[in-house]
Amino acid sequence: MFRITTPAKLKEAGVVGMNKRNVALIAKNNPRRLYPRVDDKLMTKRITEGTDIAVPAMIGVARTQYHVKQLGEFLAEHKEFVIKPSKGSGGKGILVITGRDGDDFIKPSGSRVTLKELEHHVSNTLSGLYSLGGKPDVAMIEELVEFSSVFDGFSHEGVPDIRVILYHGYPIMAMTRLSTRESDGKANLHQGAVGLGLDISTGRTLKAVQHGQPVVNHPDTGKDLSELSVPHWELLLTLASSCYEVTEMGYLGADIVIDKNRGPLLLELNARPGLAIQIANGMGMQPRLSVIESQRDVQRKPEERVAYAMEVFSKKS
Amino acid sequence: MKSRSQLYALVSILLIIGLGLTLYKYFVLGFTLTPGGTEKVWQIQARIHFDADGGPVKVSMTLPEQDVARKSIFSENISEDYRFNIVEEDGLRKGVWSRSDASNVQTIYARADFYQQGTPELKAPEPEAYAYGTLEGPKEMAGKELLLKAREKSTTELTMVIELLGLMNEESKNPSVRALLDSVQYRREHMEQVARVLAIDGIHAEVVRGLRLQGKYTQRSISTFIMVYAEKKWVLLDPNALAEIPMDEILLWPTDTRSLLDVFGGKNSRIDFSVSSTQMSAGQLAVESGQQSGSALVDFSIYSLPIRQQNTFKLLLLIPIGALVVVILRNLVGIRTSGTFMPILIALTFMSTTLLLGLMLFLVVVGVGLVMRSYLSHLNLLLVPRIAAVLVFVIIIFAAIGIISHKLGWESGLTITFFPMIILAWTIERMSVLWEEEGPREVLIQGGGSLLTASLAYLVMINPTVEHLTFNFPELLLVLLAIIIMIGSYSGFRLLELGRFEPMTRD
Repeated sequence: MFRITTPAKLKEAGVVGMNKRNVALIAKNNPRRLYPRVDDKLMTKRITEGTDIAVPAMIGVARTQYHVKQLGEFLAEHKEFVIKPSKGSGGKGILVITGRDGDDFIKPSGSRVTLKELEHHVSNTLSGLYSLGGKPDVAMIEELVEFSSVFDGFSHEGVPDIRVILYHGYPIMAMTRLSTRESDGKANLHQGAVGLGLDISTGRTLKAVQHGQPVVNHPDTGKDLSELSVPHWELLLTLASSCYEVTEMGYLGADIVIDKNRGPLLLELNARPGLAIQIANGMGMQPRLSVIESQRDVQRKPEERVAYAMEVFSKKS
Repeated sequence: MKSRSQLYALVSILLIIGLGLTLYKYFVLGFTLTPGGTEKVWQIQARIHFDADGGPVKVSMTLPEQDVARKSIFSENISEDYRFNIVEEDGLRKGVWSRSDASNVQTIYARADFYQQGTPELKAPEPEAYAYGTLEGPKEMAGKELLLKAREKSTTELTMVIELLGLMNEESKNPSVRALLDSVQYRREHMEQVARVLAIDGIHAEVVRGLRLQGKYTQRSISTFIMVYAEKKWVLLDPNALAEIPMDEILLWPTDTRSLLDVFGGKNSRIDFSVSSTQMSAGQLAVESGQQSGSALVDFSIYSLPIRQQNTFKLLLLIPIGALVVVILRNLVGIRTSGTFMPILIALTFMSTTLLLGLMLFLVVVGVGLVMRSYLSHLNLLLVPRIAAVLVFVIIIFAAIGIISHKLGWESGLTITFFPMIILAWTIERMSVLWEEEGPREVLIQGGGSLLTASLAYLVMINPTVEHLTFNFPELLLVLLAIIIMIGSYSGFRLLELGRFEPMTRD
């Protein structure tokens, strides 16, 4: 069952390993001092202000326990919103509200949250319950994304986002992770989610992989996975590509969702994107890194970078 | 690429210094690369008593023979009131104690440690002349008679000599013996007479004096022994016990008729010795000889510290080895562990609990801790109080295991206290968060990875050769550093990635 290959073959396939990622991609291209720009979601939001980068709209930020007391009044007019910790990780501490019933709030599951409970949640967030290393945090209140119906039937639970890997601002690979019953609704590939490689030039399915093995249909919904075609593809890539200018990070992962009305929105950035995207795409990223390496001296705007990438990185290369 | 060449330069420098010092210590200072066996070291203490006359005092004692095989690794003068030095006097090495004035009973102590390196060659292989001349007249007749008697009762040359020694010990019973020993006063002269009797039969013999090294004795004195050239080799015989003494069980004094101890300015002098032995590792001996000869490399090293601190460092010096194991397993193999260096601390704990017991205790504590911690997560506590609460859990589990195992008569359960509590609390916390966020599978992978790493680190760290090398050659740390730096710059694939990315090479 457990098969093993040789380093020479992996090298031939252009696969980048963890050691290489850590030294050649992250350490070399992402200076430490820039990390807060992506690790702190509020900071990410601030640096994208005044640019073309579309993000879910902010309703407000709760910074102090004093703000917590004002929450009831502040949210009086809002029916749908998301509260998330600014420095959270792994989706912890995200509270989604999709409706109101008097003073109570309704979660997507239909269960109720009283104002008291909501205040307690925000208060916990501020004291660092959900942040990395328990550092004091702030709670961001964002408008709810109205997800496009394009992913209907492709996911067991929740709406997938699209991960684009940028190398010096050029999109080199993209994928989306579809949760399954096996992965318990989580979009984590080694827990059994399906990784769907997306063609940089078209936004269509390139390859679907579960546990490293090619799959044709979604294991739970039976949907033909090759049918997925992400709308606004060029716009989405341009949105991702623009993040290079604001973060100045050479190796970056951008997580993007598609809003029914507003189109692609930047959800968050990642300074240490993983390597599973290679498996989902069925190809190593080294050849593409080398192509971009040769373009380092050329000055291009985000649109031009996307156009270049869409041209060069068609399916075969 | 500039940083690359800098890296190679650094690594080469580290390797050269580290290996250079190691080889120097190995070839020049006589350190051993393997722990080797232990050597028996004899600790001999001389005690000199005398009644001082009240004026200046000078005490001189003949020192034991120096030979190639037996090395003195340590000697000290314990009597601080006296000035001590070693002088050569008429070809004899003497220890001289002096003091400008002393009265009443005086006691001088001196201590020396000896160890044997190989078998001593004390005498020329082939004897030349008879050392004490030959007997004549009636004494020769008496000697011949004794020899005849001894021969009757023995089969070999050696047993004959022993028989003769026995006969000549019983002076009153035998007229021939009385004739031979009529003018003999000292034991030494007695033995010389024995040697002369043996000369009649063409057997060479020599009288020696020395201190018997055997067991643990106090108030020993230097006694007389006889060496006989029988069956083509020199054999040392104890004339009282009538038995052969192995050459390495005696410390010989120069064969000389002059007295062993001279005291000027005092009277009623006596000397006695206490003898005891200890086992010392060969490496330790090299260190002590190095200190004796004043090598700076040994003098400015861990060995110059008190023994207690040395033991602490013995443990500390093993930690880099554990770190290397972690580095190899994480960056070359690709095993995931919970907490980077937690496995080293667990491995250190295993050193005091043994592996199997340690693994069991660890699993019990972390398992019970996880169950308790899962309750805490319902309470939504803040981080620091939460970990503090887990820490209290850990202590409670420790106490419970300790008490239960003690009641069951299973004393090894008490080694639980060697586990670092804070580390365990953090491990439980991290595992619990991991369980909630990534599922039990990830907990098993990281927990298993940590325990595997800890077990391997433990197995390397308890290896006697590794322990010997790290302690005796601390400069190997530089070599270790070079290896870690090299691995740090390795950007190739990890072993487990060969399996992870395998599907990509199938097309």
